Amino acid sequence: MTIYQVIILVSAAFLLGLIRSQRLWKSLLIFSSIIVYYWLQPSSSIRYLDFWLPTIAIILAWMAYTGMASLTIPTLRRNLAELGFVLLPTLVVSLNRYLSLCCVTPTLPPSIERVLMIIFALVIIILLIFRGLPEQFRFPFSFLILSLLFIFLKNPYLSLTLSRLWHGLNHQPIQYSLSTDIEWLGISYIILRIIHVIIDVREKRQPLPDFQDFLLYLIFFPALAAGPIDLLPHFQKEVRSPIQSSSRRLEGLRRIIIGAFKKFVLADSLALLALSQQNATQIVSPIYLWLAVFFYSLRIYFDFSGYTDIAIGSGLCIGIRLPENFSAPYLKTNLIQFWNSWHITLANWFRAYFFYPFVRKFQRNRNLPTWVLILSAQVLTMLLIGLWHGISLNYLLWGLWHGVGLFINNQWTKWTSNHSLPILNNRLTFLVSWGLTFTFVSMGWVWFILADINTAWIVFKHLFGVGL
Amino acid sequence: MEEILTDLAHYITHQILKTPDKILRNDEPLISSGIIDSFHLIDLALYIEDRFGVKIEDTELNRQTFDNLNQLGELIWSKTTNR
Repeated sequence: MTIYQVIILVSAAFLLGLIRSQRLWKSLLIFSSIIVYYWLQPSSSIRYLDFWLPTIAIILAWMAYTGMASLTIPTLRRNLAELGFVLLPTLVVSLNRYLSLCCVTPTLPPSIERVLMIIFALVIIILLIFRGLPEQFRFPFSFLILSLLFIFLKNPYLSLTLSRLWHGLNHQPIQYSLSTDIEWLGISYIILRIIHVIIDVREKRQPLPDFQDFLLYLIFFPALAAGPIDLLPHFQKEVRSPIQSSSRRLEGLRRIIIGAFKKFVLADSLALLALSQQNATQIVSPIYLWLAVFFYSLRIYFDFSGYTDIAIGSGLCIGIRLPENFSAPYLKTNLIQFWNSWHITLANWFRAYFFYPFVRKFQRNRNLPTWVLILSAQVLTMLLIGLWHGISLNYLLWGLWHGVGLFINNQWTKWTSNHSLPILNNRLTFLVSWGLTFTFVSMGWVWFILADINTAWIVFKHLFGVGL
Repeated sequence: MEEILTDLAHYITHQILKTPDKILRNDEPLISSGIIDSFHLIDLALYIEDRFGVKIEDTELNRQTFDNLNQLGELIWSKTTNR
């Protein structure tokens, strides 16, 4: 996101926060979130892709919603009417083909008759599938479609295959396809949000929301690109009773200014010095390489937490408080505390939907030795978090790095609590713990940055002066 | 409510922390301070479910829902009264 885009988004948030009529406020919030989705979606070499990806995201949301709702005629009629309502901005965007206004979509959208025809076809296909499926299979079907989509988008090889297929469908030359062609804004977050809702509704932890609330929760524009991942009940509470006060707007503006400074000044300056795919093998001096690794740690923190500040600040200007995503992670003195304060909403999501159910299942039955349970739960959870960033070996290794690190941390904490060591309470121990934690996390970023494992391995060797 | 808090404090100090002498304040942060980790949270949830007969959802096992004995007690109290 550029600084100009941030300024426009913040201005939109500020204006929305001034609307007093609750009904108008919510409708405009949904409409602006949809329009912003089209506007922010990056362009691609695949023709019309920047129009189709947000449109398919809306249809996917509707598919997941219909899978949760009853398929009786009155309910279906209402759901279709709600879909029609949220597709109005889509049709407005597609009119830009004839108006050619700048900046609404990166490229001109397809013709309106094609848009209507494809949306109609997709809706009919979804309805036919759901009508043909027994009720208990609708949830697994939605889950399967979302999982397959995620795997295809996040794996470079499969993403390239998908890109070739799409080029072919568009009658474009497939030899120019790249695995990076399908860059779908916010889809990783949207999929996690949908899964949270369909699981909770299925488990009767929450009632079925109305479709507009559900869609707004999925694509609320301040949190669209980089989270945080709110939970639906909290988000609905905020939407039902927004606080639109001048003190909140001031608090929001303060967060936005701090966030913009972190992102556009600190992170972007550190990017010049930080380890990257380009400079990884060019820096051979261990000291400079360590500095580059540490600069990357700071860069990714300021970049990501800067975005989060802007998202939370924009939310506050609108009247909605989003959850916090960071809590001084680099000041923590062990890895467990780090993961309680880094990308908090993502870690909470994986705890709630994988870690806790997994541990509950085995802890209740006591059929696994405790250390095996701790190791497998920590490693599997961190592998899943790694794969959420991308289905490739480097993210898998990054997850493994942290999973094993958390297990060692857990065992060390247990051991020290059983042997009360006086040495563990002094200032030096605190500094050493902080240094070890920061260094461990920083070294982990090497796997994260470098897609090629051999390059990462060379960097690790150079860090310790081996193979220079 | 007071009984719930005493019961929880006893379970946490005796079974989780294994420090029976420790006095746990009702407003002392449990999750954000690192006193209770994710595995202990499951033990605590299973204990609450057996002891008080209420379900603590996995989505509630985080410091946003409760971070001290007071907040946990209120959560259990609201669940028992809404049953």
